[in-house]
Amino acid sequence: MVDFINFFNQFESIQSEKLNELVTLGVELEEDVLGQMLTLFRESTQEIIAQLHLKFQHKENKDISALAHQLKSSAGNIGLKRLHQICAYLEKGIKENSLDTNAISSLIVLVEREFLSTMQELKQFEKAA
Amino acid sequence: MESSATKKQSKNVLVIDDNRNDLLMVKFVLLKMGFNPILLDNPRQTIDLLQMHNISLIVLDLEMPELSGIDVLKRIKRVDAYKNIPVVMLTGHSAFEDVKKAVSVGATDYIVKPIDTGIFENKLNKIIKSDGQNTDWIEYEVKELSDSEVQLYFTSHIISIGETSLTLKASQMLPVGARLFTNASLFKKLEIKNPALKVEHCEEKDGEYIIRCTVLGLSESDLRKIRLYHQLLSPASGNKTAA
Repeated sequence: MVDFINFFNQFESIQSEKLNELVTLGVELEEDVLGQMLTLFRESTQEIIAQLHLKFQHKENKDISALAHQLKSSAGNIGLKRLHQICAYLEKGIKENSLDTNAISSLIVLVEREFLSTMQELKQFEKAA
Repeated sequence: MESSATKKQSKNVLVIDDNRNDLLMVKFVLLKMGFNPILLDNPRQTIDLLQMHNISLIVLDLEMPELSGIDVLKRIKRVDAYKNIPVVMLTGHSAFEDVKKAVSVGATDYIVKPIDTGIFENKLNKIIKSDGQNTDWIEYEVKELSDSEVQLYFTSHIISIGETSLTLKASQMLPVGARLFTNASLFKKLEIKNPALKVEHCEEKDGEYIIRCTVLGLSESDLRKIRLYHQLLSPASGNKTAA
C-alpha cells in the first residue's frame, strides 16, 4: 500500500489548467460547465466506488477493470491526474493479470481516498472560480 | 466567431459513449464549436438515431461493454445511407493496433481520451471542412505525437485513375519510389483487392500534394474490370475518377 502511495504521489492530484479550461468554456457558453461536470462526476464516482467494493467482494475482476476504465476517463476530463493514473494502473493490471487480490484491494482503497481528498480541494477551487 | 457558430448550427453531431461524464464533456466542446450535439449512451440505438436526425459527423467511443465501438462502426458502414458519414473514434488509450483496426473498418480519425479540447476541435473542424471525403485511404501510418494525440498519415483522395496509373491528392508528400497499398473504395467496387502502388511523381499544389502512382500487380481480369469501368463512365457525368 505504502509503495502504491509513493508511486502515485509523483503525479499531481489536480491539473488546475484543465479546470481553468472548463471555467473558460463555461464563460464562452454562458453556462456553469465546471459545476455541471463536477456534479455529474461526484454522483457517478460515488456509484462507481460502491460498485468497485461490491465487485471486489464477488471477485469480479473484469467488472472492476471496466469500472476503473470508466472512472479513468471521467477523472481525466476534469484534470484529476492522480486518480486517472490509479484507475489506469488498476484497469491495465487486471487486464494483464499482473495484480494479486491484495494489490487490487489496495488500489480500490486508494481510488476512494484520492476521490475524497480531491473533492475537498475541488470545492475550494469551485468557490474561487 | 458568432457567424461561424451560426453557420455550423445546422450540423448535427452524434456522440455515442456509455460514459455520461464523457458525453457531457464532448457536448460542451461541440456547443462551443457551434454544432448541435445529439448524445447517446446506448450504442444499440445508433441506427434509430441516424434515422431520426440528419447527422453530419459521429463521435464514437471505442470501448463500451454492451457493444464495442468497432461493432457499432461496422453496423453504420453496412447501411448505404449512413456509410459516408465521417466517424471519429474516441478511446482511453492510443494502442496502434486499435487505431489501425478502427480505420480499416472505416473510421475517419481517432481521438485519445481524456479529451484535449484543442486537438478535438482541430480534428473535427478538419473533417467537417473536408466533408468527410477521406474514406479512400492509401496505406496509412499511425504516429503518437503525445499522450493525448495520435495522427494518421497518408489519407488521400483519388482524383483520377488510368488503366495502370492512379493520381491522388494528399495532405503530405510521398517520396518517389515509395510503395504503398490502397484500400480505396473504387477498387473495392471493382473487386480488386488492395492493389500495390508505386509513387512515380509528387508535386505540391495549393498546399496539397498531387501524387501520380503506378498500380502494380494487376491481373488480366483486374485490367478488364478497369477498362470496363472506363467504358461505362459517361463523360457528361463529370465523375471525378475518370481518367
